[in-house]
Amino acid sequence: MSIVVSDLSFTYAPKTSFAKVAIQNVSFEITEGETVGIIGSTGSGKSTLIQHLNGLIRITSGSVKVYDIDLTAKRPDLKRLRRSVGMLFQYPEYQLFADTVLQDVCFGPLNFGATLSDAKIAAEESIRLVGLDFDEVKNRSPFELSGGQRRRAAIAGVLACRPKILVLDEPTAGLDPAGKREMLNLIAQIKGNYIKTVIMISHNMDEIAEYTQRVLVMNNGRLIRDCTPVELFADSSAFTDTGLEPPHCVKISNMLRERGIETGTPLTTTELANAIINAKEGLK
Amino acid sequence: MDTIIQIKDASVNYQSDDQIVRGVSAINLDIHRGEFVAILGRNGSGKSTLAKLLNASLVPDTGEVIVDGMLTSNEDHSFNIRSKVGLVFQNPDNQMVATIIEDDLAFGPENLGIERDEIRKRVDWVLSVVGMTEHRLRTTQKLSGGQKQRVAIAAVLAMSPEVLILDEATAMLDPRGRAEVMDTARKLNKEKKMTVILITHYMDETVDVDRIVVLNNGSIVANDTPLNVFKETAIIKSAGLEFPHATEVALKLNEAGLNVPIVLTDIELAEAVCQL
Repeated sequence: MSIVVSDLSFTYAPKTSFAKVAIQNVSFEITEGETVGIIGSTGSGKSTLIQHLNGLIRITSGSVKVYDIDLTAKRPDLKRLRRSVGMLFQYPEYQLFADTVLQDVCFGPLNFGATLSDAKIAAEESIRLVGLDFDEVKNRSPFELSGGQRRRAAIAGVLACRPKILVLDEPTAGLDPAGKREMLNLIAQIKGNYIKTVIMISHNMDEIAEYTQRVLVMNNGRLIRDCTPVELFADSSAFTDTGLEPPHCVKISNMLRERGIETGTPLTTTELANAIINAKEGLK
Repeated sequence: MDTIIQIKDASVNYQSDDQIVRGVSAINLDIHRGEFVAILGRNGSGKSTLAKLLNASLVPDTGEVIVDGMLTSNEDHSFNIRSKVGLVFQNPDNQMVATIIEDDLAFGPENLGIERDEIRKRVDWVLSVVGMTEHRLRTTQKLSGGQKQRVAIAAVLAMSPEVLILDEATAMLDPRGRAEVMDTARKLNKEKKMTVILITHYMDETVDVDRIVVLNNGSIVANDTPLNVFKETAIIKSAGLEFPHATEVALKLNEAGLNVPIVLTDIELAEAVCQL
């Protein structure tokens, strides 16, 4: 088990008139190797939840265990935790700061105690892994890169610390269609290269449908569903009151069902097109 | 049709260190009063440069832009042009100036030197247009993303512009927030006859607009109704765009030999499949 969350609750500004319950009694386990999506509308508790996974929020109720690190312990080994769990926040390109891309990517490993030469080796490998031309970008300012390249450089900075678990908060927000596709393919590709487990927050149901094997649905601070994308999207009642909508292909397939054509729960346009072709052949 | 913005042969180049980067080149485009136009293109294709040309935030190096009869290169007009053409950007947090929503909405008209009574009327009106009246005394920080963007739109509306430009204004929002902003834009266009220019990466947001303009590498490569634009599959692909989901499925069915018309919306596709 790489992550075990039990009965986790958190309230911002407790015992004040501004107290706001962010998450309530959340429990789940994530096995090494999974790609897990977390969905839920703004304010549903997604970000509060993932900040617990990396020790950015101190646990006040319930427990979180990441590998053998118990975060409820008096002094959990936060350094080892943060090395295991790489966290990529929204718009991570805004967090680049160093003079050159190489220095920026070396920053993480150096902080974790790597020697300069080891950090440079890890940085070079990570920069190549995210698909940037190492010789071209290493001495350039991160601010000279294009938006998509900057986001890749930020990912390289996290990968250079060699985390086992990668947590991404809306990795495709603000990218154009081709950039979104490239980013998702990149995440799929780096999984397996020392990244064992991927946890991804997204507002885009089509992305969740296509790229994850399991979905956690947050609503008003509670974990209301934990299932596969097909199970989730096949159940139209799952979306009432969550502010979420099923992927387009599922909506189309629901419309077809109302019209007497059964296409199952297709998650991608290719699956839907094939299901329509099969349904039509079955009618002949 | 009555033209409110006219772009004639406009080009913009940016100077970056040692090289010249092309923003847009030789753009010709008319925006008609009351139209809902979407601008599509990959990052770096010139969309935001184009948006800045439309409200005199940027003046073309060559060619000209005329907003309601006023040349944007004439600095005497910039104030009038900017009050006619309002821009809403991606990040709602960067567009708030006051802590209380009403105060935020009054900021623009106050700067225009408008009378107090008139400001009150305008603030009340824009609050009702974006559906935020009950929240008017709340602080801006405590709103959801969709609510913040609606306040940002209201702040622009308080200047009573004739054209509203949404520059990726839904990019940071969740599905509900996106729907709120799009519904507000459609309502302003339909009921208030406001001209709306929507810059977006979400193809599905553009299926019911009047016209789509596609930019590629600083040039306009398509300028037509959504249906006609998305039928140009080669142009869409070379511009780095995608198709609305229903269109993509219809294209795949055609490839497989099924004779489905090219459609834009989910419901159109469902009905077309029933006709097979």
